[in-house]
Amino acid sequence: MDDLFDDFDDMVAKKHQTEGGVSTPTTPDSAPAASEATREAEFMGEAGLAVTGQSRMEAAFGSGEGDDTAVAQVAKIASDTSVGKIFHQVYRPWNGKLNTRWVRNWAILRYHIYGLFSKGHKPWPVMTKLVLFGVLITSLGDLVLLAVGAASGTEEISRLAGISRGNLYGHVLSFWFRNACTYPIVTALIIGGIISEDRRNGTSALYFSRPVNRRDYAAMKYLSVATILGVVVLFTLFAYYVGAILVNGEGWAYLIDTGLLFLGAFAAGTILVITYTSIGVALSSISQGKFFPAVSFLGLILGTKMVAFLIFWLFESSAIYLISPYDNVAHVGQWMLGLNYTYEHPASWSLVMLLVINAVSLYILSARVSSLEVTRE
Amino acid sequence: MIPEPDDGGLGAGDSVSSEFERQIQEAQQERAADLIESAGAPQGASVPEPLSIPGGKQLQRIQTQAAQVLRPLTDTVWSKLDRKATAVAEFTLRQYRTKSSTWVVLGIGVLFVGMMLMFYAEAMATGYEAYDNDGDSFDWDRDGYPAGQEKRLGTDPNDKFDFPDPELYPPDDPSVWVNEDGFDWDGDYGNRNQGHDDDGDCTGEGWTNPDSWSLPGNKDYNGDGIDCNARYRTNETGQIILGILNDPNVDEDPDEDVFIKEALHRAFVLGFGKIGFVFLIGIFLPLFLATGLIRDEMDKGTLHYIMGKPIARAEVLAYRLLGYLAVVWPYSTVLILGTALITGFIAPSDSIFRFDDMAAWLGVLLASWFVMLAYGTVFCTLGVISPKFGLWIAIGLGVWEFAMAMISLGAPNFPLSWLSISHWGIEIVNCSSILAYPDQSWMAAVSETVNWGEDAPITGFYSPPTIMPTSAFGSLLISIFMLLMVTVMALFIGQASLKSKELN
Amino acid sequence: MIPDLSQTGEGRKEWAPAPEAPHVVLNHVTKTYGRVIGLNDVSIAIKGGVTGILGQNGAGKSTLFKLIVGRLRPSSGEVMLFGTNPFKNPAPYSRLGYVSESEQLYDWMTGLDFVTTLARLYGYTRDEAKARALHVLEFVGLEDVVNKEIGKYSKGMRQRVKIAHAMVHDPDLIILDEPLAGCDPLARTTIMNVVRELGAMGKTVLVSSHALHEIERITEQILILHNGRLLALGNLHAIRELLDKHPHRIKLHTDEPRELGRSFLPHEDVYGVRFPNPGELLIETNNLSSVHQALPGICVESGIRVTGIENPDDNLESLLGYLVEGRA
Repeated sequence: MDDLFDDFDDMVAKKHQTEGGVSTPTTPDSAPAASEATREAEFMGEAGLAVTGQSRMEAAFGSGEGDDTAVAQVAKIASDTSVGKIFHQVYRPWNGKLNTRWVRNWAILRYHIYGLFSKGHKPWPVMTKLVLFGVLITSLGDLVLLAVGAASGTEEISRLAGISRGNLYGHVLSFWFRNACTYPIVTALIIGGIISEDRRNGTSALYFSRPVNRRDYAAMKYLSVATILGVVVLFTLFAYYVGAILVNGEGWAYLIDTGLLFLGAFAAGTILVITYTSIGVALSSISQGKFFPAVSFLGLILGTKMVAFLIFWLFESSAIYLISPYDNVAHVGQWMLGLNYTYEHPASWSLVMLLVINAVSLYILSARVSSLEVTRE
Repeated sequence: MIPEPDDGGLGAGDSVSSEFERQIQEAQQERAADLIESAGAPQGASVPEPLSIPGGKQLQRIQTQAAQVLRPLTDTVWSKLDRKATAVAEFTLRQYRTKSSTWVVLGIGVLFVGMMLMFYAEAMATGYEAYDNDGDSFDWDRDGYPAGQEKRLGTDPNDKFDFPDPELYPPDDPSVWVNEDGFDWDGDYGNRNQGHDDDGDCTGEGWTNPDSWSLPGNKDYNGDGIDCNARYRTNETGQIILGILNDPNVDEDPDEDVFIKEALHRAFVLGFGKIGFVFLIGIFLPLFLATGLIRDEMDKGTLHYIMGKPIARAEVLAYRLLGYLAVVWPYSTVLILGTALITGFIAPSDSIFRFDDMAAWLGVLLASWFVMLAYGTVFCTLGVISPKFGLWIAIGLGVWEFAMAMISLGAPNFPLSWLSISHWGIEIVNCSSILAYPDQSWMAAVSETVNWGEDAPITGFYSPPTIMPTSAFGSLLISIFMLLMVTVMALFIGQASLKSKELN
Repeated sequence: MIPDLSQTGEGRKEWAPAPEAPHVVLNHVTKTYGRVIGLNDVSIAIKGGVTGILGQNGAGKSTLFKLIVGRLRPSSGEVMLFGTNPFKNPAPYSRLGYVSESEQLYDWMTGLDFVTTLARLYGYTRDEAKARALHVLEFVGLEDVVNKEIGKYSKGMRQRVKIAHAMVHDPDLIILDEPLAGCDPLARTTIMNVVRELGAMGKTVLVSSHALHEIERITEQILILHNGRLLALGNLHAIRELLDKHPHRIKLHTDEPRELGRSFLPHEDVYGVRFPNPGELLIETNNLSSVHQALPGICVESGIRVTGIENPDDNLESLLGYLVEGRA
C-alpha cells in the first residue's frame, strides 16, 4: 500500500516536471527523503513541530491476537495543492501502551453493573430497576419471615422458616412462586437488550472498534447478567442462611451440620443462574430489540414448564419434564440437596439435558456474536 | 461569514457535482426546447424555469390514461370497508409474513399440538388393565374359588377346607369377579338416588345365605333412607354432581378401561383447552404478535404512512387488530378443529367418530378466539399508551395472567383470579365441556370416589362453573361478556390514546 | 401566498376563515418540545404555487410540516389544513400528499405494493389503486423497478417512491420534507424536475431544504425559518432587494488582484474592493446585477486573467447572516 502511493506521488511529480510549469518537487514530504525522526515527530505532534494543516486519522484496530502488531495510519497532506492533493498514507506500528485485557473487560462489566446504581453507565430502564429491586425484596421474604418469627417469639414461624433442606431448596428452586414469577421475569428484563440492543442501535461497533475481541465482549455480557442474577438468587440465599443462624443464635456445630446443605443449595442456585443466563443471552443475541428476547425467554421457561406439566398430568410420562430447563435444574437441585425426587426419571438424565441446553445456548451465543455485523442491522 | 477554505477537498467535490448537475440540466433544457418546438407547446406564464420537461407531457398522457382506467367509486358500506379495512388488514398480514418471529411462534404452537397428539394417541392405544378394586376375584384360601363366589355361596373365603360343592358349583373364572359392579347412572339429575348393587354383596340378592356375616351390617351408610344405593350430592339445581356417597359394597368395582379412557379423553379436551389454548397459546401468541401492531410502527417512524391518510386513527387501530385476528383466529381454528378431528377418531366411542365432543371443542375454539381477541387488544393498547413502558407492562401483565391462570386451575373460586383474562377463558372451556357432556360432573365425582386420581386426571382439570354455580350456560355467557368487555374497554382506551398521540 | 398581516406588524387581526380559504393557515402557532422551542409564534397562509421552506438544521422546517399534516399538535395557536384541524380530522388528508423526512420505509414491500397499499387507504379499489400506483411510479421514473423490494432501492429511488406515494391520489397540496437529502446529482435533477412539474400543474407545493441553491432551482417563492421563527417570506429576489442596504460581495480569483481591483473602482455601483487573501479580490457593491453585467467587460478590458468567480453571499448562511445579525 505504501509503495503504491509512493509510486503515485512520483508519477504526479514527473508529470509536473515535464509540464515545466512548476519547478519545485511536488512529492509530499513523506517521500523517502524525509527522515524517520521527522515523521515520528509529526505523527506524535512532538518536538515542537506543529501538526497544522494535516488531517490525521487513526485506524480502528481490532484486537485480541495481535495487539502487538496493531497499526495506526496517518494521513499526510501533499505540499503542492495547485493540482489537487494526495493524502499519503503512512502505516506504522502503534507504540502506545494498552491496558491489560482484564482491565478492558472489567470496563465492560462495570458499565453494565454500575448502571444499576449510578449515572454515566448503562442506562437501564426504570422499570427494570424497579422490578429488580422488588424481586430482591421478595427474594429476602424468607429472611423477613424469620425475623418476624424471632421478634414475635412465635416458634411456629421460626420452625417453618428456619434452615432446612426444603427451605434452602425452596429459596432457589421452588416453582411457585419464585421460578414462576420472580426469577424468570427479572432475567427476561435484564437479558432483554443486553446484546440485541447493541445489534439494533449499531453500538456493537463501539465495542468492536476498540481493542476488545468478540469473545471477551460476549463473555462480559454473559458475566454481567450472571452477576446481577447471582445477587438476586445467591446473595439472598446467603443472606437468608446467615440471617437464620444469627436470628436463632446457633453455634458452630449447627454451621457444620447445615453447611453442606447450604453449599448444595448454593451450587444448585449457581446452576440455575448459569442456565437462565445462557438461555437468555443466547436469545438476546439472535434477536433485535428488547421485547422479543424477553418474551421468548419467558415463553421458553414458563411455556415448556406448562407443556411438561400438562402432559405429565394427563399422561404420566415424567420424562417430558426434560424439555423444561427449570425442571432439569430443579431435579438436579433435589439430587444435590438429597431431597425426595418429584420426578420419576433418573436425575442423571436431567443433568445431561442441562449440559445440552447450556451447550446449545453457548454455541448459539458464540456463533451469533462472532458473525455479528458491526453496523446497524 | 466564514471564509471559504481555499479549494478545500469537499468544496472541490461539490463544484464537480454541481457542474455535473448543470450539464444534465442543460441537456434536459435542450431536449425540452426541442419538444416545445416540435409540439408547439405554449409557454406557461407562471413558471419561468425550464418548462415543459418530458415529465409534464408524460403526466398528461398518464392522466388521460388513468381517466380511462378509473371507474367511478361505489359507496356501499361494504365497498368502503373493503377498501380501507382490508387494505390495512392485508398490509398487516403481509407484514407478519415477512417477520421470522411470526413463523417461529406459530411453528412452536404447531409443534406443541403435535406433541400433545402423539402422547394422546399413545395413551389411547395402550389399554388400562382391569383392576379388582374390592379384591373379591382373589382366591385367598387357595381352594380354587374366588372370594366373591365363596361369599355368595356362603363358604368361608379364608378357610381352605371350606368351599362349595364342585359338582353343583364349579369354580368361577376370577375375571368374572373383576369389574363386576360398575357405576350405574341413568343421567336423571333430578334423582339423587342412583347406583345399584350388581353383585349382591350389599343386598345379599342371589346369595345362598342373605343373612351372611360377610354382608355389611349397616346397609344405609350414606343415611339417605335407602339401603344399598349411591346418593349423589348435587348443587341447588341438581345439574352439577358434587360428590357420590356409596353404601358399602355398592358400585365398588367399576371397569377401569372404560372409565379411565373416557375420563382421560375428557381431561385431554379440558387440559388442552385450558392450558394449551387459553394459557400458553392464548397469552404468548398475542404477546408476540399484537404488542407491536402500533408500537413498532411508532418506534420506526413509519406510522404516518398509514395515519396520514383520510382514515380515522381509531379505525387504523381496529383494522390493524383485524389483521392480527386474521392470523390468529384461523390459526387456532385449524389447530383446534384438527385436534378435534384426530382425537374424534382415536377417542373411545361407539361409532367410528365421536361427534359428542364437537360441542366441547367448539367451546375451546370460542375460548381461544375471545381470549386472543382480549389479549391482543390489551397488549396492543399497552403499546400505544406508552411506547416506552408499555412493553414492560405487557410482560408484567403476561406473568400476572400466568399466575392467575394457575390459581384459576387450582382454586377456581378464588376471586382474585376474576381480575384476569385467563380466568374467563378457562371458564368458557369449563362451561362448554359441561354443556357438551352433561355427565361431566358425574365423571369427575366417580374419579374422586374410586380414587383414580392420577390415572383419570379429570378432577384436576374440571371444576364446576364459578360465576353462576347453578348454570353452565349462564356462566359461559357471562365469561364471553367479560372478555368482550375487556376487549371493548381496551380498544376504547387504545383509540383514545392514539387519537391524542403525536407522531414525532 | 398570502402573508399574514399580523406578522408584518400592521395590527393583529382576529383570524377568520375566508370562503376561499388558503390551503394551509397557521395562526400564531408555537410548538415546544419540553423546554425546546420548535416553532415560535408563526403565522402564515399558503395557497398555490411552489414554496421553498428554507432553514438550517433544527430551524423548525420539519416541525412546521408535521404541524401542517397533523402529526403534531401545536402547543398554542391554530393550524388549519383546508379549513379544518388536521390533528383531529383526517378528512383533509385526501387532498394532501406528504413526503416525510424519515428514511424509514417498508423495506419488504415492492415499490408497487407500497404505493398501491397506501393508495387504497384513500378509498380506491384494488384495481384503481394499482393503476394509479403504476402511473405515478412511471411519472417519477421508477417504472423499471416497480416489482423490486424497496429495501434494494438506492437512496434516490427511495425518495422518489415516497414522492410517488404522496401524489398517487392527485392531491392539491404536496409537502416535501427535504426531498433532495442524500441524493446524487442525477436523482436530484429528476426530483427537482418532478417538483417543478407539480408546480406547473397548479398544485400547491411546499418543499423544504437547507440549501439555497437547491431551492433556487425549484422556485423563487421562499419562506425562511431560523430558530423556530419566521424570518422572511416572499420572492427570493425581492427579499434580497429588501436587503439592499447591505452590501453584496463578489469574489474573484486572479493572479493580480490589485491591478484588477483598480479597474473595478471606476464603476459607479462598486464602492469598495478588498484583498482578503493573496490571489483574491473582493468587490463590494450595492447593486449586484449591474456589477455582474459589467464584470465580463471590465475583466476583458483589463486583460488580467480571472481564474474563478464566487458569490459568497449566494447561500443560505449569508442570507441568514444578514437577516439575523445584520452582518455584512
